[in-house]
Amino acid sequence: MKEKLKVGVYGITGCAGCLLTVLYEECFKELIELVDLKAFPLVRSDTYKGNFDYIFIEGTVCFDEDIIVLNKLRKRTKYIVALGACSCTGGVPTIKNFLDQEKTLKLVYPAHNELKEEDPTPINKHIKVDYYLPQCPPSKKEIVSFIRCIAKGEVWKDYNDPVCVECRSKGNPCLLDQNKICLGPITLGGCGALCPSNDVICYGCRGPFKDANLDAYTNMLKKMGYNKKEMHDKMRTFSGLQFRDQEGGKTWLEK
Amino acid sequence: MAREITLNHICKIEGHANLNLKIEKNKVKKCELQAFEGARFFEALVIEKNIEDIQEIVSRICGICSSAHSVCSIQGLEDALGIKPTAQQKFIREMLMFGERIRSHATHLYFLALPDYFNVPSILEIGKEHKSKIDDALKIITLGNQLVEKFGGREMHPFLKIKEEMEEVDYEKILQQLKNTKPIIMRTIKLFSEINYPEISRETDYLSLHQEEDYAYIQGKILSNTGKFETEDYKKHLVENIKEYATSKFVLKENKPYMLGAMARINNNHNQLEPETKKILNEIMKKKDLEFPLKNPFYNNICQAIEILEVVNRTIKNIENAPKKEETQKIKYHSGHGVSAVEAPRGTLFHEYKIDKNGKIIYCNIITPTCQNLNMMEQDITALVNELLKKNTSKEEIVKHMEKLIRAYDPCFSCSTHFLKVNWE
Repeated sequence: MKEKLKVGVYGITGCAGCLLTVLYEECFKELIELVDLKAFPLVRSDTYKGNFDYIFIEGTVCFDEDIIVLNKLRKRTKYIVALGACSCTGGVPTIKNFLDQEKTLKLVYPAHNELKEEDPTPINKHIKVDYYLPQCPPSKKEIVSFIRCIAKGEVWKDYNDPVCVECRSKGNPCLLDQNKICLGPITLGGCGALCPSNDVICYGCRGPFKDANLDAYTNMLKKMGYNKKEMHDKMRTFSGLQFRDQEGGKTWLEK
Repeated sequence: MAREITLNHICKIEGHANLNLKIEKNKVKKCELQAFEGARFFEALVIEKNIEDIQEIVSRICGICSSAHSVCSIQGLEDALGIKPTAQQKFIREMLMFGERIRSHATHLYFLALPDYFNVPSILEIGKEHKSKIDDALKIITLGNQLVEKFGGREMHPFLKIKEEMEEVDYEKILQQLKNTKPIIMRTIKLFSEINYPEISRETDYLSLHQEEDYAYIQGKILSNTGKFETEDYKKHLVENIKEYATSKFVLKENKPYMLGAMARINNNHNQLEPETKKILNEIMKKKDLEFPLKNPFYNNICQAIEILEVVNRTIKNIENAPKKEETQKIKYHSGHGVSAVEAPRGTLFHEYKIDKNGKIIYCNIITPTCQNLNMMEQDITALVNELLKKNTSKEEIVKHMEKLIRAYDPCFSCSTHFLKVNWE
């Protein structure tokens, strides 16, 4: 019998939501059946010392220890899988990058001897990432498909359409038509347009759709009567760093 | 001779934490429980944001209690705007809290706590004859998930709006599932009440929400041994402190540690439990020769198991009395100040907001349950280790006991770490 893949599931600074999603019935049963779960500190305390085939990582880099952990894990595995929005795009903690700290607020840190703050960043700013399972929280369906795919030794294909494609096919009324700032057109889909289907705007948690025309999008919002600050508020919720770096994002999303 | 025991990266807890213990002359000299995560500054992240975006952001404080943060933030903002939620809104919010309580307790009990009592590294090694316990755990978690999904649109970080109306829902399937899961929950209560917990007993203050009529989840006054106080007066009683060694705040009540969570709620609100839950709890108490208040922190595990049953009974009762759709109040932005407290799985959670006339946040303060439990945990660890030292217990045994105790509290360091003091200029 073929040896099962050695898998680890780790978290750096985060909300543990992605790790808990992995513990949900559908994902966890698949995981313990199809791969060899060597390490998962949230639910097991033994310390596996060997190497991995795949390591899933949740969380955002928020302090120096996160980088140390990432580097250690990278050395021990063939592939790194960024799990969830924080890991893929930096997620909600990256809002901090856009706060005007000089003028409006002064964060007072308690005296930490060892802890060093880092600007919140996704893990691919620090280590090479091989696969991305975005979304906040990540989709169970996508996690299960990914585990099955790697267990069979098949090649994983990323979803590659904006949120609007799935949203339209579901027949949802368009939120932009209702004059709301919905990030659907510029955000990578694959979520089944979950938020717009619940009458909530897309906040861009799966990161930018890479072929999106950000200039055209922001001009449209401008015509709808929105100013820069109002666009920033939405676009900087989960993936502000990526939208800023994307072509067309320079005009609208610089610091 | 001084010795030190350090536990780095304690496993099977939510989030990352270290413990430093210094022992001198066979007594604990220093006990420092430190969260070991970077700060995420949520109270600063929401500043200048519009009230409609707040729930979406603060829900991300914690994956395991995202419903609690969502509900607490919405209630706090409503309070600031002077909006009264409809009966249906309260119903939806309680449902989210119920689902979350069920899965949070089941996750903690089976995945984090149980392996300690079987002397195995994880539930996966629990042995062939106990394999069904994994299925039991997953079934209860799934029940909780489905409740949150049904009323919140997804299992985690539910969609919740100040203006929420819901059409008629078909409850048959969910009622059936609640009833089907009950035998598993009864097995869970039996399992956790029959565990041989270390025997410790200490007096302390227990804090929770309290209502005369019902077991409190999202409304009520704050009750503790020293009496009741209104939610909005929380700062008069609970003081946040910063310790040099930790990224989390430590909270004291009238300068003393206190305990919250399932055991505090059961101690404070056992009279409000549903009849069946009350009966089963009383049987356990009688068998173990216990009376209220419970004094052994390890019994928090039993209380969590009991609460799963309570929540299921309450969910059934609420669904049977589900309110009809009502027109919600129109939202008009004006400046205001609001406070809300809810019972998250791990205890009382506070959110406070100040908003300006355009509906933008100008101040936010959040106190999570784990921050409030940290002092109590340190105190209990110290007492436990002192007892063990008297009996010349080996270091390995001491470490095992300490980890068990920490896990019994079910701490969530993801929640606790991200609240640092913010000074505004």
